[in-house]
Amino acid sequence: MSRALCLPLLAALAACAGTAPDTEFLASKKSALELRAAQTRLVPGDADTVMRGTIATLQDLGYRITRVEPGAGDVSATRQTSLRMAVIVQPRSPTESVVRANATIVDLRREAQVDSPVFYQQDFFDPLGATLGRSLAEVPPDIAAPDPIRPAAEGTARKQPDQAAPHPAPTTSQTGTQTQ
Amino acid sequence: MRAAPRLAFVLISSACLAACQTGDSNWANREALRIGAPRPDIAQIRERQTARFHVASEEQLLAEATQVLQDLGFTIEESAPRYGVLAGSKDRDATEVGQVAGQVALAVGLAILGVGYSPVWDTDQVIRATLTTRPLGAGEVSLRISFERVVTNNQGRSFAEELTAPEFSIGFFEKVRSGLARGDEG
Repeated sequence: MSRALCLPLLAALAACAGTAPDTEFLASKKSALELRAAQTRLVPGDADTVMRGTIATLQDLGYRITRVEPGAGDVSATRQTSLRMAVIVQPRSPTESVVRANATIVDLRREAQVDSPVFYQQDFFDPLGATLGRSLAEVPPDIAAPDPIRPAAEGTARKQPDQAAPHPAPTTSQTGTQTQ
Repeated sequence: MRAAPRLAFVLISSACLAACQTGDSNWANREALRIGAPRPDIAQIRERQTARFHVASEEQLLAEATQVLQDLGFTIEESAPRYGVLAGSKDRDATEVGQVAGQVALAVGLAILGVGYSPVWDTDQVIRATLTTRPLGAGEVSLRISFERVVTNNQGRSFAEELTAPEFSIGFFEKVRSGLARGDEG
């Protein structure tokens, strides 16, 4: 066989092996609408009550809390060492809140967004509904939902000082992009 | 090389390269479903980790719980009284002399046999605590404390172990009750 064929193939295989960056973030390839449908629910209850229920649910599921931002209405948590979850709770009315959960899996050199609807339903929203004793509903397309946020690990520096500010108004973004 | 085997080689190699580039795109979902499943004994664990206290306010209980964690050597990393949640950690050197010696002996023995082996032992250990409170009404507040041990080895890999045995939380609750009682007397 000609060396002209072997050498480029070997070089390409070697390139596959080890040129990854330190931590590569792999966002979901699903559409923003698909991701929104999987990650977001309408929850009966004021935002503080729902956030308390969220934190209790995460603790029930074996997560440890890594970051709480009362001003932004979000919480981050980690289960074992590799499953991270960020949940943002935004008020829609005094008696209803919009909850968006976003999970990632962290490997040695990569962090990948979880986009399985089954995961969010059975491993977060069902337990949240049980904790609150309420039924959760899908968020209709005409209701604003927050963008997903990337979970914060322990020791991650805050972007802004922690303030007891009112919850921000719900966004109208339909993108599935990560914000941090 | 004849034409047919050469073509087969090229096709197989191309397929391997393609797989190398895309990887298994569903690995994150599989891992999340594996790790994230609710525990079957969730109710029993919750009961072991939760106690009720008669206090003037949730804030009083949180303040006392914060003090107890700090007295135990924990650093408070997150605190949100608005939601009744605290999180803290305590570092401990996880290195055990016996573990290190055993691993090194194993590496030496295998090397004599011509087998390569990288010794592995635990180096760092962090105990993490998550504490939540919930007002129950009529001067009663529930408190839940969960502990977890995160161990890192000399190769940089970490694993976590939930500490769900009753003695971890019972000891903590006793200290909180003592502190509240001292506060009432004082």
